[in-house]
Amino acid sequence: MTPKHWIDLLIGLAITGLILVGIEVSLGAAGLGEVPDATNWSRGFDPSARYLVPHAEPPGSWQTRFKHKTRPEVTVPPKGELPRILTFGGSNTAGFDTGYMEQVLAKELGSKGFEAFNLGRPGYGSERVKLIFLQALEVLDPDVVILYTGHNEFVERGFEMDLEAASAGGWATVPLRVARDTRLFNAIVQRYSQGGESRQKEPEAWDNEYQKFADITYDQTQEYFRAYKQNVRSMCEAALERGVRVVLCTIVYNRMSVPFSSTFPDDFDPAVVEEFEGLRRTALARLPEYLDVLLPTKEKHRLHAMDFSVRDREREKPAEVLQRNDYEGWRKAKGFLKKRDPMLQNASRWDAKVHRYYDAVLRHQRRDLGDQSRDRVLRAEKQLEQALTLYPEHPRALFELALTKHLVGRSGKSVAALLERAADLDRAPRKGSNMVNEIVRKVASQTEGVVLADIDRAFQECLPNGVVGWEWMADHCHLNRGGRDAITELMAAAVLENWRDLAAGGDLKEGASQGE
Amino acid sequence: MNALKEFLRSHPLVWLVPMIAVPIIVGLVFYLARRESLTPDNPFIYDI
Repeated sequence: MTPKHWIDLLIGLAITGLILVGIEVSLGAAGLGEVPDATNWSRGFDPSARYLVPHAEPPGSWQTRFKHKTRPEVTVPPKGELPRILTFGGSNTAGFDTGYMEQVLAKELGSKGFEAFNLGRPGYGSERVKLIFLQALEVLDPDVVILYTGHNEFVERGFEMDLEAASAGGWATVPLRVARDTRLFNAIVQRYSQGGESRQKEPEAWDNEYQKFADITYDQTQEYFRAYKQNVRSMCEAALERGVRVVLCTIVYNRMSVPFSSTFPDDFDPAVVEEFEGLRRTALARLPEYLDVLLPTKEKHRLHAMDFSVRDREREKPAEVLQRNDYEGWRKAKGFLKKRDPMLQNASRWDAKVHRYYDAVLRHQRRDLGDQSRDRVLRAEKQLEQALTLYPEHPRALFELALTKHLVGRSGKSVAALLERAADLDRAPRKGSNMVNEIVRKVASQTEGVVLADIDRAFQECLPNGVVGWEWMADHCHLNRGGRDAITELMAAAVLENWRDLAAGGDLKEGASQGE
Repeated sequence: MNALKEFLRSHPLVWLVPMIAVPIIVGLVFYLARRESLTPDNPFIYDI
């Protein structure tokens, strides 16, 4: 290349730049492709992004930048005289009615004693909860924070993998960073995201979601939970350092929902795996057919909270619309759950899958052997036990054995223990487990000043053999309305039990580290 | 006009570079934006 060529090249590049600037200016003149702030792309993962920003109305207030498609952002007004409670967590937390919590507290105190705001965000695991938590501590001046998190560790990590694959991976990292600041990029994104339909995956597309962790070993699972423990602990410590009181909650999970991922250790003998699977296959063939509904192998066959609301989706409609009272035989609860409505309302909006599930749950509950003889089911039990002697840490087989043992009338306690073990050993759970709750209990006991609200245990005490199942859960991790309200009451009780005098207008920061 | 034609003929890089680079850059931005628009805000959103 001669110097003349270099000059020509530079002129060519300058013209290229002018054309691109021209495109940007034209889009600007047409009002297209406005560049959003950085939080738009981070989806909650960027520690440098602000997820709480000043808001004009009312003056001095703050607003979340959750960017949830269907939920409005949360606006937190300037703090008044009332002590302030903030709740943090994922979709269950987002479903807690903090207005109801205020009512419960006011009723107990005789006047409005606290103000409460819900900063839960569907899909958030402890990593993203921590970011919003730390920012809220800085600007919202809470007196009490309530943490209810632990279902979403694998949901969040799986989503992070999606984002890495779509945006941050390899060669695309730098071009994407530059492109995001252009109107052209944003105009195209907005054009294809119109109506928001393209961004939401339907359950039918979720099988791939669960394949992400198909090969994960239990040791790797433990690493994820170590990170969870670290996040929870650091949130507690950050709050206590600022003199903010902490209620740390155990989480309620569905013991009757099948584990998500069952794998063998990497160095496990393939011949033994084959023998194990052979025994399982034969055993499952000896179980009543209706149990297949409770043992889904594909994600789309699982029951999801959204199956209770068919309003905005083209879903399978049930042949006959049953009402919840048409279902007899649900296990009775005692204690504080006794007065609660166990199932979701508006049965007319349920997907047919809900009815299939409920039908199977009730048949299993009354030990219906269906098309099988008792002898065959007993043989299935024996074969599953045999399989588990080959490898005792297979969550799915443990779960299958639990259902089988219930069918043949084994003790409720032994069934409950198997269900707990199955949940604990799940390689990629999208729900809590006793392992998660033990982490919560441990952090609470090791962090002076943290108040433990052992909500899961409180639920267990109300239900036969401590098995929280489909009566109170809409899916593997989501509670129904009655369950959520019960939890809100338990949270309010924890606040009152420990800091009742806060509402009287005492020194709000005093006593935080004492747990009072 | 003739002078311009003569200039472009003797300096092909001046027009070749934008002719090649602009479609590539716009295409790349389109590809990245399309991929971004297909990436969900959240894999699991429940509204109950």
